[in-house]
Amino acid sequence: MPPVDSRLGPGTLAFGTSPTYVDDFSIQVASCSLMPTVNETDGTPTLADTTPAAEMTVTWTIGGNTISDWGDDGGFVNWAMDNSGTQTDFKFYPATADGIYWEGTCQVRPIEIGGDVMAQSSVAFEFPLVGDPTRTVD
Amino acid sequence: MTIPDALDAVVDQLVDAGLPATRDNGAFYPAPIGVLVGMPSVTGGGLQTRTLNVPVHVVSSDPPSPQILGLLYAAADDAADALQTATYSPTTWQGGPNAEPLPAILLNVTVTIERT
Repeated sequence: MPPVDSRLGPGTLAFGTSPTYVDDFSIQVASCSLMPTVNETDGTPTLADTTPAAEMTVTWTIGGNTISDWGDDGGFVNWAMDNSGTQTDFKFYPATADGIYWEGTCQVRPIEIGGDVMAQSSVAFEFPLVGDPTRTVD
Repeated sequence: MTIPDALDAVVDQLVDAGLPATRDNGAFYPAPIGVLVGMPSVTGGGLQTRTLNVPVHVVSSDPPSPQILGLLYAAADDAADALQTATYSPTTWQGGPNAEPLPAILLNVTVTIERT
């Protein structure tokens, strides 16, 4: 059996209210990931279980890099600035042809404004999720 | 947008800046300065985009005398401003009916286009 080699693009990253995602910034996004962060603490040994499994919680972030578009008043960078701190739904379709996407709710954070002189610049964005993402197969 | 369309757009930006630009290598003849938009490399891509690196040669038909160098660098500055490119470097260009390499300045221009 050949290996599965999943690669991004062409795909979608859009924000709004599910299922209508009116703020689609796919054209700007150069890289995107749903990133888990695992926090864990040691379990408490008991008489019945002297080596308990660690207790863990998982938090998620949707983030990546976007081509700077601060010159566009309705662009991703200015949208993030205008909506900083608000919660919005998102839809992340890594590769439309694969027919599988993730949705969730995230808190918008501002994105760096600026870059190198007379050169295309790519800036990072990172929005923490509220709850877990859900996966849907088309 | 297709890659040929993107190259046409680069040529249009240079022509709008008053530079004698073309991407037709066979018909390219600098007199005394010409600008040739070359074959691009695809250097990256995003969710809906492709990133191209387009070589743009600013070429002189004459040896690099002080006068010609002045014209060459003035044209390179105009091209860099038109294409929003901060850097360029001297090189040579050889092609068309010219048997000898001609003095030139190379701009590597980054262009991002939507996937079609």
